[in-house]
Amino acid sequence: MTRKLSRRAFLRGAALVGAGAMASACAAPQAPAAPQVVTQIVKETAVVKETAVVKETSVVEKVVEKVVTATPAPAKAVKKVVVRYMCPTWCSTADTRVERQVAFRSVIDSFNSLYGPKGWSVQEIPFDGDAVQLTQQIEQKKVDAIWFNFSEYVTRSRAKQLLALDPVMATVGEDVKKFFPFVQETLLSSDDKKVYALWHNTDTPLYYYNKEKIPTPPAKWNDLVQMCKDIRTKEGGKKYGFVHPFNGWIQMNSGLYLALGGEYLDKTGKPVAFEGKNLEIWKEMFAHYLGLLKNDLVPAGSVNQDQQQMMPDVYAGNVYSFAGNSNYHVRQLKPNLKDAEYKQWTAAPLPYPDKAGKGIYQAGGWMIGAVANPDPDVALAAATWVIHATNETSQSVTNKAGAWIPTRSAILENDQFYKTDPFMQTTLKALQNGHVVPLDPIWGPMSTAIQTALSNAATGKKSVEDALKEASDTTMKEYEALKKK
Amino acid sequence: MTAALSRSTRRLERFAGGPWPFILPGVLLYLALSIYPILYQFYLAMTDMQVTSLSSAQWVGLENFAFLFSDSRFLDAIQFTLLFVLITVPVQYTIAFALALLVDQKLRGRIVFRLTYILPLAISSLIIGLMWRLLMHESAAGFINALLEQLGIGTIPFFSNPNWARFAIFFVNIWSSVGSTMVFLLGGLQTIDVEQLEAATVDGANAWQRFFLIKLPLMRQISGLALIFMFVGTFGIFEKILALTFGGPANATFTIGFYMFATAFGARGAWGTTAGLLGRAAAMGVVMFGVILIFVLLYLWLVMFEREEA
Repeated sequence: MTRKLSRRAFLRGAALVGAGAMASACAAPQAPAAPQVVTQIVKETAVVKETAVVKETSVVEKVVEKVVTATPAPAKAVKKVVVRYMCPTWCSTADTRVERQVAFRSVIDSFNSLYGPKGWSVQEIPFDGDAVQLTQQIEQKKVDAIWFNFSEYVTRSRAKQLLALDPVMATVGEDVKKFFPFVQETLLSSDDKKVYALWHNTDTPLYYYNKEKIPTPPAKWNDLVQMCKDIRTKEGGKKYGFVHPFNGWIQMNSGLYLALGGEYLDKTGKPVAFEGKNLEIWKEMFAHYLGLLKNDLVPAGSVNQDQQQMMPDVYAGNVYSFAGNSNYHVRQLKPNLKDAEYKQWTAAPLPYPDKAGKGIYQAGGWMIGAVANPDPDVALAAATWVIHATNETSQSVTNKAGAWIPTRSAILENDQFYKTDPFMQTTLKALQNGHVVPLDPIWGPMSTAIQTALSNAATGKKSVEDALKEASDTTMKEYEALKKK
Repeated sequence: MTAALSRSTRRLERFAGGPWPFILPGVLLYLALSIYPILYQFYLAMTDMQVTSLSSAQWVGLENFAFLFSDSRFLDAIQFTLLFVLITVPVQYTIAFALALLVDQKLRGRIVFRLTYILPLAISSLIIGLMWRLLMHESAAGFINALLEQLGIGTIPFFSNPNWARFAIFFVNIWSSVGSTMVFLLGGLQTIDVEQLEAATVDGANAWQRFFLIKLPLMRQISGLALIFMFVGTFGIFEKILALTFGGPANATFTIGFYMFATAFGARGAWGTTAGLLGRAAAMGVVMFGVILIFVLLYLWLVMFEREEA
């Protein structure tokens, strides 16, 4: 009973199907389904409490941590806001290290999940970290939140590039008092005392030493000199008790200058670092470091070495202690020493001058800020992102992934990882006496001038007095030039 | 109306039929990629532009130049840069010429020689700097010093002594750049007519005479060009300084290029040392441009003078 389909019947059928398809395509779109009735309203604060840190194993078999947040119930139709967040590649999901990818992705995902019902999401824009590019993007209004160096905090807030976070912080219960004292001081150092960014991670110099060779770390400069002399006497040759980078000296010693009662700027912002008692403090500090060199207590090559360049001496087993950044155990020692050798190393706060009552240590790091935006919705979303990305959970996860130091003392005190890591606990001790260099534009030329003066004196090119006189002249010349602006 | 139309049509036809359609894209690209950046740098040099605020830059006229010419560090940097050029360029040229003559011979394995000399070209300047920094490290960790010590010569303070630091910069720059100059000169040597050399040989000229009386004069123009390239490359040196000495010790290896970098993007070694003075750095660039321009014009004048004489 099979009937052959005629050509005419086929065409008719095809025409009917086509007409039907066209009719359905042209029909008015179906009204969206009514929003699902939410039986239980999940408050933001309640959701934040549900945020937790979990450990999971990634495909590359690296133990990583990430933030997980309970997915809130869908909400009514809302205005979509995408926070365009510009950050250097090394602190983004675009970094090559899996642990960083996972950590930063989890912070973004948790924000998107938490604030998705409000229509907010974050779009990461990784870049190479060039400050000029960052400024261009801010000025062209192409970014809503940025990751930037702490040293730019005052200049960027002064240029009105950043949004004051205080109102949003008050709404969500965020408070600068939760951060280290030096962080609070810095965040409130803007011209109008408002908070324009939150500090994500920090670091500070530490004294690293080999426990086998130096059982008790020197606490003060005289102890350090004595230890160096003992090692030179005992071992001699190429073996040294200590090495200190003379390039970057100011980074290690700016706080010790303060500990000795030194001042960089007066209340009007004028440099006073080379006047009266301040000049004497520099002379005293120079004398200590030049003495180490002159008496062959540190390797001669350190005169023109930075932190990294002095490390081959440490790896070769020629040097038993050094001044280095607070992540050097992860960045340098662990990857370059055998396990047994690495275990011989630990850290203490940098030895400080005997005349000083305590050591004060310079801190640096990176901040996240929201870019000033006329659209209140975008501004609110960006400010909320800044708070979210620097909250305790996010900071804990991302700082671990990056081997950085969180800026909230609570993390170093309570988080299991930080609580049990001896290097981190030493860092915590040092950061309790942390300080930040003046965020005034004169700091750059002034610190470079001090650095040059030390180098001039160390190489014998100039006497200490002449070197410091030149540093003073250079600084004042730069100050006059800056004052015109 | 018709006359005007036909006039403009004729103009268009003349334009379309002439060389402009062919050279216009190139000219536009040249204007956009070469002339505009140069002019923009001149503009920048007369502003107080800083890294953290680009749009609020203000016109300061010649203030940046006035500052630079009263800045002893800048004057020292010019002095060292010129010394660096005056020492490395002739040495580099002489070695490159000698190598070019060597590999121009029909030697066995000359391809290997050529490749060996050209190899440093394949490595970035920064990596070259880092590599030599490790090789010259002032301890047993540095290969060269370890070797010298084994030979009983003792270690050399390559980076902590100002004079040795300068030597290290000179040496590494020559080592890394001699290959490119050699290739350039080799190209020139291979354009010399073999018949001329053979005729000279038949006339009884020895190898020295052939070199001094034929090869060297014929290589004058290409040598001039090679010298100009070497001068420009050496005058603007920056990456190797960054990796090797960082301008130290005691600013002994501070070049204009390095000072420009430190002014624009800050110097490592002091947290917060982000100078970011783009205007002043651009002014340094303009001074550098001026010095290079003088040398290039001098070369062009010499070439034209030579042609007129010929």
